[in-house]
Amino acid sequence: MTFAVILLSLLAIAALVGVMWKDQEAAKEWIYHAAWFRGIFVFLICDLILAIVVHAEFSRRYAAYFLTHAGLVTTLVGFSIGGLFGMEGYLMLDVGKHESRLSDLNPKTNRLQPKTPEEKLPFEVFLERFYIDYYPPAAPYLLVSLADTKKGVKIPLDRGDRLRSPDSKYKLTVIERFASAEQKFIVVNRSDKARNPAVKVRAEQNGRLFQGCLFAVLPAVPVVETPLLVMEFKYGLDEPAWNKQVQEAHQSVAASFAFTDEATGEGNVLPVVFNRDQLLGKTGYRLRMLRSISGVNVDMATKKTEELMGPPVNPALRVAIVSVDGRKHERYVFAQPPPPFMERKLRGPFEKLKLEYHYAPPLGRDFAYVMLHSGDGQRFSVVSLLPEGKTQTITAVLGEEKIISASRKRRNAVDRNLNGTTDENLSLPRGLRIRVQEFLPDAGVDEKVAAVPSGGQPAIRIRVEGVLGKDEKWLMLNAERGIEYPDRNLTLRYMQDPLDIRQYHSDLRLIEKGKVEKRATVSVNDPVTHQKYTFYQIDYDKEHGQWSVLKVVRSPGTPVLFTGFGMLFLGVVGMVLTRGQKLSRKR
Amino acid sequence: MDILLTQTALYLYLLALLLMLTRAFQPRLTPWVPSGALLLGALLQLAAIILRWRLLGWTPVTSLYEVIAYFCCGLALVIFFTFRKFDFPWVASLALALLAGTLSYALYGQDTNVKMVVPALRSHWMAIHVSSWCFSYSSFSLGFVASAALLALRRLNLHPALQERLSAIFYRLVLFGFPFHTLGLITGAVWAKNAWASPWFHDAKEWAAAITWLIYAVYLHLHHRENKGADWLGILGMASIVFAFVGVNYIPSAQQSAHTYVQPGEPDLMPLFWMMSPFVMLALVLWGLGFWKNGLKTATSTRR
Repeated sequence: MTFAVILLSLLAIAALVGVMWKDQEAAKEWIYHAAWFRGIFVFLICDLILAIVVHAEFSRRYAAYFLTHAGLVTTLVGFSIGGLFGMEGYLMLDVGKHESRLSDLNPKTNRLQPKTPEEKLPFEVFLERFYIDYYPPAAPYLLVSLADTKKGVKIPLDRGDRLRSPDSKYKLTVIERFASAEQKFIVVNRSDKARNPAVKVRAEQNGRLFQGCLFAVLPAVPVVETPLLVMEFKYGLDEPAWNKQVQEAHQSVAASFAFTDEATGEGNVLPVVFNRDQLLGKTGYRLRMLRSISGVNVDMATKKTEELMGPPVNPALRVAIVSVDGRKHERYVFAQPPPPFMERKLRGPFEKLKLEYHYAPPLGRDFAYVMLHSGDGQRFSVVSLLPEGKTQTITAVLGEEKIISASRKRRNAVDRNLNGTTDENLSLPRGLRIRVQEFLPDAGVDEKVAAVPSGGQPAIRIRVEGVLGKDEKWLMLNAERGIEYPDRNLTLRYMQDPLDIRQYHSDLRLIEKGKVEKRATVSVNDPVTHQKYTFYQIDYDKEHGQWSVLKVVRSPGTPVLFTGFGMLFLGVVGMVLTRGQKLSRKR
Repeated sequence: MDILLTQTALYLYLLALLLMLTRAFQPRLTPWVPSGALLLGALLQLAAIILRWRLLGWTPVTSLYEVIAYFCCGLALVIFFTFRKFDFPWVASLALALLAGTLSYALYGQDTNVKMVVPALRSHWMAIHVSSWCFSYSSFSLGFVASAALLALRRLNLHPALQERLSAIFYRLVLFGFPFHTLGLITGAVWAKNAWASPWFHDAKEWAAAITWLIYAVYLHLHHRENKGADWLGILGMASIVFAFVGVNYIPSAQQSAHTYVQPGEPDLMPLFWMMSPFVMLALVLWGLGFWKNGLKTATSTRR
């Protein structure tokens, strides 16, 4: 036992030196991977085995003793097997490309470099797509900050709650609710006497409010459109026609792609399938969809385009087209097409080929495509694409609020803490009153802030009143400038935090001898194993989402290691349960 | 709401501390009074944790505030059950002071905002891993208080019977915490294997936790041999816990650690120095006490 205590103490001291060593790579070289450090472990294993043998007897105490000590030996052996016979490397994968060569991480430069000598997997890995899951947007808040103390408070803008004031002297009131991560719609009013029946609907989506009238005849539908919600009003349909409409709505929530050859008039709809050649009817063109992006940024100075990742701005597909005579062209097809002259420019050499992309949000993400129908004028049907990929129909009654996707969790925007300082001592000017006067979900600035039909930013009109005077201003969401109260110390801004990342996914195809052996999605904390190789999501292209780095590991010691863990834990628990009992010792 | 509950729990712990001190001076006060306040505080904190869990949709152990609050709830429960079993108001008072101080640090010195769980933390292993740490650290922390009191009494050669009792309490607490600590190490390795492909990275935080495990393993071996010097490991163990829990963020190697989130630049060693200084001071005081007492005895015997 004395020897074991010495060895354990030596390990602790050596590890402490290693922990305190500034250069951890040097610590690995001189301590953790050094022969003398491993030697301690060898001695420890010998000592543990000896202890097991010396104390051998038939008792519950010994069983626990055996499991603890043998578990530790098994754990150390498991680590050794992994170190001796295991393999690890990195796969740098571009979207839409194959790879089987492994890379190493250079610890000094922290960059990947091909392994020398070259090492390859016995199969090809194809990255079908890489995508990011985001949390629902946070509720907007009012940011009240003081210039002198550099302290501030975030006041969430929720209905029902009395705003938490940083000081009980101040009264803060919200007039209208507009902070919610849930999608809701409410049919507010209906008119069926006129020649053009209409409903007035209001939709709340991710904290933004959209409302307007839907007409059965004019103008052309949809009238009310939010980024994720398209509403149509179909009036006076009989039951079969209404069912047909619902059926069509179900079908419409899937992404589709349409082509028209303006020379021959031929056209059709294609499924959205990536990296597979599809013939465009009898036009002779072959088309391959390369990737989907959430939008494109164009640098006006350099005319360079930059593909965007994240929430869809103007979703697009990158496609490659080959004509009968072998001419090739790559282009984007946008869900919201550009003006006609730009669209023609995009067509490149194939001037007569018109391509359209009907965007449906990706399955399992935070977006849902919704259509509103009316059957007999009393029922309003919503067809939505649920996060799990199923479609569902909800029937709403006039004037009743319905939550379409109730599973979303509301994020709170708790007050406190701005720039690392708490608001506990925030002292605002005496008698200050802050009041949100008006809210516009879609506002634009021309000469003054006003509601715009779509594409605007949320804005609030806010009034600040105190002993130094009063001020009233429109605040646009996330605008740099806010209200500076007359003393120029207190500033009010209307803010919403950027989206937080929930998960990264890489959709893979594992290909052997030209045949797809397996399709799998690798996510953080959710690795995939194929032929003794396990793939882990490690890194990704943070700017454009066009590549993903996977760690590839073959670790034959893992079963041994996990067995050791199990034995060790059971043994330690057993030692506690059999405390007070003593073991004999053979000499 | 959960912050309010935690703050109320803190006030209840302070009340329990006051009542515990009263009980130490006035043994007629029934032990249920201080332990009732303590239990109520722990239950409120438990409710706060459940509320935050619901709000976050995940085990609330994603920030230092949440982890410390979790730890404090565990510590309160461990103090409650140990006090109900052993009835030692002095040691419980010291432990309650430690608990109140730590929870105040979390509430008023840390960011209490709800943070979205980053992809790497979205693992069920993480919940078991952190919960295990919290229970083991709670148990070891109370053990530290018992061992410090024990060493002080031993240096002063006072109350031999109480010394025996404190030694037994310390041993039982280490025995209770050790399986949780082992589980914490194991689940950490399994989680790391699942998330980053390797169960052990030789990371500063990993080794700091392993050092704590080694210290308590050594203690259990020495205690088995009835070695009285083993009780010093209570202080060393606690210093190691503080180092592994918070201190490791301030060492130079923290920037290369996957477990710490430090800003680039030269880390400041001063917080580490301040964190470790109470333990050094305590050890010095204990040595000083022994020297004073023994010196006094020697002087008296010479005069005779």
